[in-house]
Amino acid sequence: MKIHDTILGLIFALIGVAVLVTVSGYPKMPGQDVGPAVFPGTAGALLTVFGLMLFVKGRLAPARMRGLVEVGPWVASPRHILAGLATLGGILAYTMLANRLGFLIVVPPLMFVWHLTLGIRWPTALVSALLTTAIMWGLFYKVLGVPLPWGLLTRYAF
Amino acid sequence: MTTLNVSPLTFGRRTLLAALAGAAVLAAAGPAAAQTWPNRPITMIVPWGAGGGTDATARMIASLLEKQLGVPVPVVNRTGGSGVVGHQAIASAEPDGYTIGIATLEIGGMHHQGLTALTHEAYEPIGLYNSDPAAIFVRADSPYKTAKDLVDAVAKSSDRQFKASGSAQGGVNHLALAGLLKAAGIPTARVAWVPSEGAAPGLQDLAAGGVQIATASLPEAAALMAAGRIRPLAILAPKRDAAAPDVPTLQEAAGLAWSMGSWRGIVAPKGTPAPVVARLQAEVGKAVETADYLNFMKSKGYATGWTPGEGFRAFMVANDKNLGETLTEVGLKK
Amino acid sequence: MDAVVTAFGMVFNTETLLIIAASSIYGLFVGAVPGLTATMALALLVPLTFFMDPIPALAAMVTTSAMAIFAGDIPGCLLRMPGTAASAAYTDESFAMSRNGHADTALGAGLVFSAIGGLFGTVVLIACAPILAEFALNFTSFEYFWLILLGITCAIAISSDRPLKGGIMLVLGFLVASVGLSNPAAFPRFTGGNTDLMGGIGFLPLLIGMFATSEIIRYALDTKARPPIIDQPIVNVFAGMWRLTVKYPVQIVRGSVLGTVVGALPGAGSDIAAWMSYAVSKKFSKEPEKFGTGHVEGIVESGAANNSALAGAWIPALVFGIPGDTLTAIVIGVLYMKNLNPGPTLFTTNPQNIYAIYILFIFANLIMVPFGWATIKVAKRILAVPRAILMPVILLFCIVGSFAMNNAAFDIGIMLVAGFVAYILEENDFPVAPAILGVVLGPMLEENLVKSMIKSDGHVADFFERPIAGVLGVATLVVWTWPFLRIAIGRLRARQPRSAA
Repeated sequence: MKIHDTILGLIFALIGVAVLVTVSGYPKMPGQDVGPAVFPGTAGALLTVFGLMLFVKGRLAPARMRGLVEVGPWVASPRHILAGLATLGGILAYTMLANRLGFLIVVPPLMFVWHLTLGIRWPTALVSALLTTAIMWGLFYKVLGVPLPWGLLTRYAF
Repeated sequence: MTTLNVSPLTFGRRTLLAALAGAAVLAAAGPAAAQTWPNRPITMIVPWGAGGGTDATARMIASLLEKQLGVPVPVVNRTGGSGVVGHQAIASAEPDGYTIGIATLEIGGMHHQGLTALTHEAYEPIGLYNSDPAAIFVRADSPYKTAKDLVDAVAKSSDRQFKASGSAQGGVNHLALAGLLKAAGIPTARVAWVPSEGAAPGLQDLAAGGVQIATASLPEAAALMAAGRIRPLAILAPKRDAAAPDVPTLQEAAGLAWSMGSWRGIVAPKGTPAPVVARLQAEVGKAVETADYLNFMKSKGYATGWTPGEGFRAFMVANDKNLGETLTEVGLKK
Repeated sequence: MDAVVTAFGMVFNTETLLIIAASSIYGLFVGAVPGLTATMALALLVPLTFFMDPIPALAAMVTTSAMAIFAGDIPGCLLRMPGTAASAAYTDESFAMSRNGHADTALGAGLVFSAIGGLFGTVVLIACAPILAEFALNFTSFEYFWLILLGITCAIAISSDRPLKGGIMLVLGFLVASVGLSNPAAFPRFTGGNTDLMGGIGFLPLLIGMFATSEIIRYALDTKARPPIIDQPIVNVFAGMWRLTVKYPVQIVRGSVLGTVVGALPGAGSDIAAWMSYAVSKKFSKEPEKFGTGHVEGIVESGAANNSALAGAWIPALVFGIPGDTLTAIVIGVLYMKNLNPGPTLFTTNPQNIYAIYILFIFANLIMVPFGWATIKVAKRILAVPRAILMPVILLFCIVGSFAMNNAAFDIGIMLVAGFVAYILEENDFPVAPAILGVVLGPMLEENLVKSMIKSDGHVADFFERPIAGVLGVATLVVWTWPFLRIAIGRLRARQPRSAA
């Protein structure tokens, strides 16, 4: 997805200003002349200046793009749109559901869907989904001791 | 980037709350569980990074507990925020005996600094297993031969003529120096504190001539002392250290009664069933007397000791008061 | 001497050797699959190294990066898709060689001269690092402040053809690193009162998001069909290598030296080293007209350069804690996690760790030859592994890996946001490397700035008072003002004849 430099420049400049406003309220360190605002304040000021420079550069540069925002060829392909949505939505779904339902319940369907949207046929997808879940579980939970959530299966934890 | 991660954050919170609510219902099954404790893994939360001193000692104790209790004791590092994040995580864990953690000196200071409302009262003390006193250092070629020379020179100096380093602003080594100045009747603002990310960079700055004084514990300074670049003047403890019998106490060297040092203890969240706490006290007490543990601590240069239960609570109360006074002195109390 | 013996013991034990073998295979595989970069290989390794002892962890990082950089040559040669950015410089050349039927020579040259370049860089590392460390023991915050500033300035100026966008990414990195309590004042910044943010934005989820998740998003939205593999038998990889060594000794040395130097510069790593070497090789070649038509000379030189850059990048990383490239930026993060804080004291406190790192580098470059040979033999099968199966597996690894360090779902959120933002910005030609430099160097820069300001009590002159600090400071100011200086000098020159007339 291409976004015109003028827009990005403005966004960065605004972030820079927001940083400056935020740090303006920071106190100095007791007994010292410097404080927690010095470094991010400088960074915020630089970001504002760089953002404005990008904006100006974008205005002066010959137009290479048709509009201000240009999406890739994936926009014409339902499978690719689905794959992109599944990637982002899947991670989000994991963060929301994993604690409640448990790793072993959430991950296999997630993996299955990811495989399907990338064009893998369902039998292969199913096998890979189950296998990956098992390996990842074994590696992180059993070998490395990472407390992956049990969720609904807490009672059967092993 | 910082402004963008609001949405996953809110979701994360909500899931967490839901999970906590669920766990609370399960935990209502309560006291009966004490007899069967432990029957699943016990998580040990460490508020400092993997590989650091606190982490190393915690992992050692965890591995011994694992053997003694027969269940896994995974160590989880919840770092950041000058220890606030990890200390908070221990306090807000389910008090079922399946989450314990390491509390360090910072628990007595952070609420005075306005970083959190959390105090030692959020915990059931299991026991204090280590405390390392701070020591005061100068460069090897410094004109000050004893702690008294140094204190006298500082007393006569102008404000901010002396610069010192060794920890973050309000960190243990900063407070160690501030308390020393206070004990000597010198205003704490006399010496400018140059904050550093831990003791090592502060000591290196001392060796390179960036500051004239540094405070740190003896094990932290061992390498630069061995290289002949820095010199200890006194140890801020009532007694000399068995590992460094040549270093005088501050009392001996300058006639000042002041002691300060970092410490580490094991705690459980408030409300952990009393039988479980008693059992933990006994088991950790056993672990810290094993030869494995003692050898390990000796090889790393950490002091050993064991103050369980109420003794540890009294220690934390005193520590809290002490830090509060020193922080007020330095102007960091909110 | 004791320390050296200890170091050998630390490397040559079953655990470390097993980890080296596993990371060799892992590095070779990831490097060989187009779309999976060396940086990604390293980023995904971090959650695992988190659970290892320091030396095995470093063994994994050193081996994986060396293997991945070499293996990047393979898909470049057979598919015309560089496996890692470091191979991009000579991808067209080696693909042309394959089409002419010389795939084995192209791959063999890549392998053998990668190993030689890597060993050369290691020798320089061993020779220079301790001397520099001794020197750096006398550095105070003033010297560090200027050194970091000079480093990042050069990184933006040299390594990027888009300095403005690089600068924006660097500053964004600074700001991300500013979040939380971890600053000299221990004041909560940009947290909005949130406890999770008090601890700051985790390095690991950021890394995984920026270098792995973003690649997966890109893959999911990628509509291009994949090019067919060049099908030709790869018979004897090592045939003719001795002849090439005798024919191109100057090229090998030149590539290795240039690679080491470029690697040691902050911010410029293997990929820049390879591009520069390839250009140098062509410029000084006796037969420059053959370049691009399947001529091995450039591959010899830049193949040596990209692997020597790897070792070169470790020099400033170990001595000053300033990363030479993105890979060492990750390594520095791991060193901090393992309490092996980089800096001159690392050399005095635990010399055996430093010796172990040297041994690891030598060992990794030696075993690269047999392991690499085996990989070339099975290359076609690796390239045939469908990426559509790999990508979801990597994505799951990203999730679990981000979670593993703090056991916090919050970190998965950071990973997602970092991945998405990195994808969007990369689509718009923003280089990602400066952002990670900013994240790693931001806290260091701030700490040394604050320390120096406190020490100087407001006297700017103190920043230049110590001799080395003065030199570094002036150098930094010259680099900053160079464009203006050039204009000014130009004007003066233009005016001179007139005033003389």
